[in-house]
Amino acid sequence: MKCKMAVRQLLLDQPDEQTAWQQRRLERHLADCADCRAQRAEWRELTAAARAAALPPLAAATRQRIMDAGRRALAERGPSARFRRVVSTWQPALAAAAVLLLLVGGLRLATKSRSNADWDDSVDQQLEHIGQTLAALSSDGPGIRDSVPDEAEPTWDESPEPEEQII
Amino acid sequence: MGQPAKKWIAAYRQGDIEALGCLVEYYRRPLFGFILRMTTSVADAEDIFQEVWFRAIRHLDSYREKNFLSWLFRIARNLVIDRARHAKPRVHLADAEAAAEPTPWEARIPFRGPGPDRLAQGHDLGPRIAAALQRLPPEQREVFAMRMEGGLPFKEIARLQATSINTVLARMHYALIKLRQELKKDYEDFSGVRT
Ligand SMILES: [Zn+2]
Repeated sequence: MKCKMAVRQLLLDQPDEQTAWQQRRLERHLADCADCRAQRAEWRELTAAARAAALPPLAAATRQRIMDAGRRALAERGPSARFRRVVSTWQPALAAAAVLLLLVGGLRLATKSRSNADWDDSVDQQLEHIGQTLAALSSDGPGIRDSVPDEAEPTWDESPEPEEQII
Repeated sequence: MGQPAKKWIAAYRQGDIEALGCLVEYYRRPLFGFILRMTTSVADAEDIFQEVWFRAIRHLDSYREKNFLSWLFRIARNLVIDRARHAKPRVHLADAEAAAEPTPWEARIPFRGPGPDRLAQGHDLGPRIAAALQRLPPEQREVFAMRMEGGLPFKEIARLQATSINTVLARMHYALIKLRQELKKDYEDFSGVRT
């Protein structure tokens, strides 16, 4: 095994990241290579210091806000809350539908005196228009689903690092 | 995901608010640690930490992944990247490029640090590591933080960064080399040993 490969494998220090065979090969290399042994000791020290570094405490208010959000989310899950949410989300569409139904009624009264053929055509057209309006309202209206977290992984703008690979 | 986390998620889904408290506490160190490494102020980190949980709570019902911490990291990194894009001034490409260049011959010289004994005696390199990390390119810092704070497998980090495992290993390698260079002086002062 070459040092370059050994250095790469030194990074893979979690269980299951190397096969037993890879591990044995690395150990054999380390037994013969002082440079790689020193590298391992150095990285272990550095990573241990990084892991042991103290963190500033999390503000109690932050934690409280998270818990409040959790409580609200649980409360909103109740069946009545869900019904209220659906109604409030679709309120504009429902109101528009009600107005359109009133218009249909009005139209029907207004066209009562016309001949049957005229009445049929006119009402058909109006009903078609109403249907289109309702369809547009349903598709443009706010959905009841929440947006899901971004599926595509964003990347950092301008990658300045050399992307060469170490093996 | 560890068993306790699975249990707490299920309990919270069934209405147990205390289970959410357990989850937040259990993942506080890795998640807050990761966010702190990726932001420039504690206030920003707190904001993002809170927002991660708000989003997690909203989507917990649809959560199906195996690694809960990885899922939290994914939400966090989206928020961090989003915030970085809107922040000014931006890091100049040339500066970042200079920061990313390792010095191979120097990097191969092992340094004799203070050792675990001296670290245990109260010599905390943490703040200096944190400062040195801020000078790394974000991709490298991110790999280092996910690994150090969350112990994520490199395979998982590669998935989150949407890149190959070799690239992730290279990023970790450069991060360690750069940190070692940055901290060389500290180690010398610390142990009185010249490398
Ligand atoms: Zn070697």
